[in-house]
Amino acid sequence: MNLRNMFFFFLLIFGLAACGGSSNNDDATAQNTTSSDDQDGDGIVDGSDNCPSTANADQKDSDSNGEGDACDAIPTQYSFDSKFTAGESAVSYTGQTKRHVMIDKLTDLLVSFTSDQAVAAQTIIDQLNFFFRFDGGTSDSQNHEFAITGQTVTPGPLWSDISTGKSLSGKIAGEDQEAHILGGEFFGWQDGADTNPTPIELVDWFFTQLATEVTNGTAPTVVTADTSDTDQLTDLSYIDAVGRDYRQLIQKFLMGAVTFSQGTADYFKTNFQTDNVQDGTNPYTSGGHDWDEAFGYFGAARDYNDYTDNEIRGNSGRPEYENGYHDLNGDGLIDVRSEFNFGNSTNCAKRDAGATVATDFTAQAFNAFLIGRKILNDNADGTLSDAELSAVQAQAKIAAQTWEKCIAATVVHYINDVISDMSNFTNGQFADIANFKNLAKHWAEMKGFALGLQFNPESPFRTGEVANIDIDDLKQILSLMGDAPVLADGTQNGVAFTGGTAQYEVDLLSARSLLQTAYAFDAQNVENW
Amino acid sequence: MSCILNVKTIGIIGLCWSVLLSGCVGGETDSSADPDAFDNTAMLKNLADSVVIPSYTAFLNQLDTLTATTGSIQSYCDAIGTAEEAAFKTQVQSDWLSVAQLWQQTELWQLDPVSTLRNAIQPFDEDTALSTCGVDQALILAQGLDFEVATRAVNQRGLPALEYLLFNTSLDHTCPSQISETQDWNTRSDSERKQWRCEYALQIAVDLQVSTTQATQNWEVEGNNYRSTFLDPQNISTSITALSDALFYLDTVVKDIKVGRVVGLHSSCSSDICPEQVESPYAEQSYALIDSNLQGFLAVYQGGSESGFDDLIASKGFAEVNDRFIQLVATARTLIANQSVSLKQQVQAINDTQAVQACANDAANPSPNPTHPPCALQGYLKQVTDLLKTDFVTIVNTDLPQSAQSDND
Repeated sequence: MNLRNMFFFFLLIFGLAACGGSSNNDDATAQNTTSSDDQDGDGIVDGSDNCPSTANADQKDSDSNGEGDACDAIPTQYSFDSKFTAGESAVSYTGQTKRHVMIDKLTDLLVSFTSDQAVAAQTIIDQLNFFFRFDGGTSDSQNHEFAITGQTVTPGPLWSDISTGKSLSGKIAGEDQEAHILGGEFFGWQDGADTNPTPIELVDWFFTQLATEVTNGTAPTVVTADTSDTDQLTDLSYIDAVGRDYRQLIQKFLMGAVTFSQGTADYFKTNFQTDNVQDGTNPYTSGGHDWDEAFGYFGAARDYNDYTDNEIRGNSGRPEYENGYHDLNGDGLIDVRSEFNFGNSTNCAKRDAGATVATDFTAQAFNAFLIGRKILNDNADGTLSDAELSAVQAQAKIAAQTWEKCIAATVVHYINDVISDMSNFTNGQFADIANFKNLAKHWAEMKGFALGLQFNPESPFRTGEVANIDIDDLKQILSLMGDAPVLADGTQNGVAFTGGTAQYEVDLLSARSLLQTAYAFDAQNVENW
Repeated sequence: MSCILNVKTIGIIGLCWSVLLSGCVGGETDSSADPDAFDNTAMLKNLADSVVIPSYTAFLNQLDTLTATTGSIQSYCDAIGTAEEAAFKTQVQSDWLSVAQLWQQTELWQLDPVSTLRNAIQPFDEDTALSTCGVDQALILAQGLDFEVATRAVNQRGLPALEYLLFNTSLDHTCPSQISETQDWNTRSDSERKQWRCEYALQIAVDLQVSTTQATQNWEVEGNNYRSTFLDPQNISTSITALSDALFYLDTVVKDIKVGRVVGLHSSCSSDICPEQVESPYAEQSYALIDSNLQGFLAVYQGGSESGFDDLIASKGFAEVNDRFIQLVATARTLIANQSVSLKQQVQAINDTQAVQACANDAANPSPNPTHPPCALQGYLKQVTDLLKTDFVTIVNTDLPQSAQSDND
């Protein structure tokens, strides 16, 4: 019995004793409370009511500060006023926005490699590193070129207008802090790896493989059953002959190893109790700013809860929201720092939208961000009590675990897509060239996202909170996926795969089952995502 | 004195014990072994006036050979496209080396007045490497009216930038295609590209002069008079510790980064070898620069002909420690002097498993004629810095600087 139930229990006994009423009257307390005891008439006497002026029978107090939400509303938008500088916002995460834009622009560059490039491989690597190893000293003065069709993007046009400095390489797990390679072990990819692999080495390996593929002057040959189709993959040079789509691998891996890792392993692990003091002369506390940075890496717009899932994913909806952004302040500009949905925040919406049995990852994650930030802002004087600290940490955990569910559900989605692609194989051949391209794309998204699951300290693979699930299960999942898909001819990365495509499908279903258990996903969702 | 317990070797226990004995068994010890008899202030004064302050003056004077209106940079700029171009280029490269070597000596006394300015002069350490693209971009921007070198990031300035501009034989830029300023650079004529590089080299050298002048003024009595703070009787212990900490440049940068990382014996190199991270990739003068570091070490250690750390150590009865330091540094310098091939080229020869193993052996057991001299040099430097970490800090009674508390190799 929790405290609230105990309260009602004693109130019930008191009510029965006072009125001599029947024990069958479950509503006795509420009905017999006088108006002077319970001014809002919600059945909770004022002395015990966490919001005596407004009816709130549920006594909901999301930020655990003793004042009910009915009197102390949780903001619906990620907007918090500074406690130090009148008229200024306490919210700031421009560096995180800049890194999202870097990943987006890096992806645009990758997508542009539709044919082989007549340049040296190193030229391609340099172009990729313009974003990955962004050097503010040379590049902040360049235009970021982040554009939205039909809209004017702000801030801009320069990279420095968003934020100065910053790079992806400096924040990838292991490069920022060695400890962010959790457990001292980066795992899940063998090809090209040394005995002590690191995430940045894998990115560099992807870059080298991609650059070779893009500049080698040859296109992979794909044997297809469609005699009317070409067997040469000539229109996408970022896919190699063994079916690895480096555009997807790079983008999705960076989302995990940089944004998800930074949000969960770094900023959510701040000592919020000691750090909730003003950060120099800035309008925020260090702890509040760290929380913002985690939120920034999640990528949601400030009014994320006002979007529908389809709007967040840019799929459909109200005209002002339907493309994944919304001019919240009505200034006619789209501010990438607050009015655009980036990164994993969009994956949450996609999985909610695709759920057979309803999920609400978007609201769960965003509300946790809101509540935690409110507690920090309400107490932006350095006096976070133990209870408030616990409440902040609880919200951090909810946000981190829900964020991870969005990624894991996306892995499930792509497992299903890969299996679907494989079902189109015909007599050991791809149905057509599109079948090969789809397999490469879906497999790379599956693997790229799945690698990211190892970067969250609150992962069910690490906390021990789920029976029979531990980090070895995640290693098993990644191992079952391998370092390349099993192609229609039954080979994986150039070697015959034992059991062929049928066994690979079994393996992927096994991986999916482990994910279902680890995240307690509904079976129908797992089947249909 | 206190015997430091976080030292690495068992041998230090014996040293601590003998120091205690020398301090306690007064009847067995002459007056020169009495710690109270050593004049710390005199040592600091000698080091400030005979080593540190003159080093910046000498560096500034040497910079004049590059920056003067008739200096070697301007002469080279004027000679581009003429029959004398090669000769003037050789001269300006020689002058760069002289300047760089003088600075490398000062790296062993990076104290407060210089520490913040140092990054604008020699931006090289574990986390900082030259941005050649930044230099390429800047030299084009420098043709504009409102350009200021001092506003550029430090990894685009200083002696490494000067080396790149004066020694790099490729005239092509090194920027990714996204950098707008350099997009048409490779289509320009060779003479124009040489000219622009040379003109920018002069700006870089003048910027060096500004930074060094500030560093010098920070020390001078007529300037910010750090000398007075350094020699203040209240600060003697702090000043000795600061000098002692500065000597660990030999450990954390010279041994670990300039040599260890390049030969793959430091954790910051994730491959077998990292020759691309050599300190002097264009002039290929890494050995000369390291030798200058060792000269700088000796300058502080010996204090020239007057009082230095060796005298302090001898005063405590450990003259044999001095002998070991001098002998080890001399051995390392002899190894360097015997090399006719650059460190970069030698490291590039460590190109298979067998060579990697041989390198490790040379580092573990350095000898005068090793298979891989850079690896043996790392081994010799480690012997010096191990002595620094144990006997030196114990006798001088300072702690290891935090940056030197783990080897990472």
